[in-house]
Amino acid sequence: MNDAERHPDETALDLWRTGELEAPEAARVEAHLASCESCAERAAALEAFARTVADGYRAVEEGGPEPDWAGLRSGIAARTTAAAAGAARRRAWLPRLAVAVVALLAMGVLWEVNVRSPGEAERFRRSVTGPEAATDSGPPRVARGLDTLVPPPAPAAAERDRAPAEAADEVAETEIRQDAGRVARNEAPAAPAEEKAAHEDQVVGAMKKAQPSPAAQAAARGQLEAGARFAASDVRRFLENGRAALATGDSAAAAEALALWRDTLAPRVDADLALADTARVVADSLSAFLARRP
Amino acid sequence: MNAPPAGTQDRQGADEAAEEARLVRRIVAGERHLYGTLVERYQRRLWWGCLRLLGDPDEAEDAVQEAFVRAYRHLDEFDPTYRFYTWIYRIARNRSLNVLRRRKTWGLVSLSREGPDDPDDPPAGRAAAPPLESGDDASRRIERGELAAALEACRETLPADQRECFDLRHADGLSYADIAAALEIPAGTVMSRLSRAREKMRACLESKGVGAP
Repeated sequence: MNDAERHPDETALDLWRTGELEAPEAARVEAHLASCESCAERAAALEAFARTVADGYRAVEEGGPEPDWAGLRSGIAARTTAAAAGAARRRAWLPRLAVAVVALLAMGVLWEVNVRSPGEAERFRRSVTGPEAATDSGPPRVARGLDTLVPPPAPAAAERDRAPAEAADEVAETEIRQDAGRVARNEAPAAPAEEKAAHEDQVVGAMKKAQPSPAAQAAARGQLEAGARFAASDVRRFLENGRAALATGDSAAAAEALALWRDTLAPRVDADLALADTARVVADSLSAFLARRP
Repeated sequence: MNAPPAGTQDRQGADEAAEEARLVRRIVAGERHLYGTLVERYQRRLWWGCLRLLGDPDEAEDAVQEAFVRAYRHLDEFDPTYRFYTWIYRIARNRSLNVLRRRKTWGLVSLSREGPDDPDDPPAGRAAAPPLESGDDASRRIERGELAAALEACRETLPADQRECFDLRHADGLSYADIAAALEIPAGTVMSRLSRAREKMRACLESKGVGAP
């Protein structure tokens, strides 16, 4: 019996029937079925069996229980939104941590350069220029680190160089304060480009002009927080109404909630608002629900 | 012979898999609201899969919810070589097996609602059949009921491992490769389990008067 004459087993017929065989093997099975009546009958019987069984599963489902699909979707939406918010919060900590580390490093370097180094550099200079120039009688010290690269600044120059250091400290502190504010307001961290621009503005601001008064800062912060609360309360109301409409199957209420979302909330809701994703899922569920209604 | 030309279903499956992979990429890239599309597409199928394993509608609902949430958290790990359903079924199955381990039983329960004592009573929680049902409709309903009952009874005679393969193949229409991936077993094992299950199911259904049309 050559290859084409070999009778395919039932698994091969099953794979052939659903198009899961590689092309050469499928061609071989087809060639065999064309010439072998008993195998063609087996293949037809297998196809009929599969159809009957699939129909049996459908019959079971028709008479079976039916869960609350809208409730199930709402539950998934609520939990995935919470998961996304948690992940966003974790991600948001990374840049803050990086800022804090950079700020600490910068402070350390500046401390080395501006506070500690002048004394050591001075001692080094004295050790080189000789004891006659020294005003203290301490032993010569081994020059190290930045002492060998940075000449000891004159007192006036040291004072001038300290200004950017203090400005950098202030910038770092401001960034940390702003990040903490974003967390409190549930906002995403500033984008890198915005952060860079904000950073430059802060450096300039810290060096050339005074900070806004605490009262002005508090007023601005209050406005932001009030805006966020307003948007979130509207979305929460939409979620309550939308879910109630889905739960009760009330088409009119569903249409009303959906219209509120599409016309009023969706265009202005803050994309970073934690509830926004849940609201979108509920809006999708409402659309699907209304589409299914006659 | 009504079998499709070889490769037809395969090509269709490949198109669907590609569309699914694109959808997943968009969700991972930030269009999170699109996840609802995947939920909508597979929730019913997955719920029935879990119900077949667990036999309890509420536990099946919990398993489905948990699976979708877990899948969402790990969506960036989804391997587009496989269908999304294969992946999420595996997640839901692991959860379901944990529930079963806690229960210390592997028994699969009837797929439909618990049968009423009186066959004329409607199943609990579902609307009764319309009172003015035509003769043809009533006859069809009875036939469907008998088919469902026969299928359930025969399924329950299968060992659990064969039954699960059989369900995935014939209820969910999964390919051999996808069944192997979903159950994390070799394709050869899928073939042998399915072959044995088919043999038993064919004999059982014929003994109950259900045969191919």
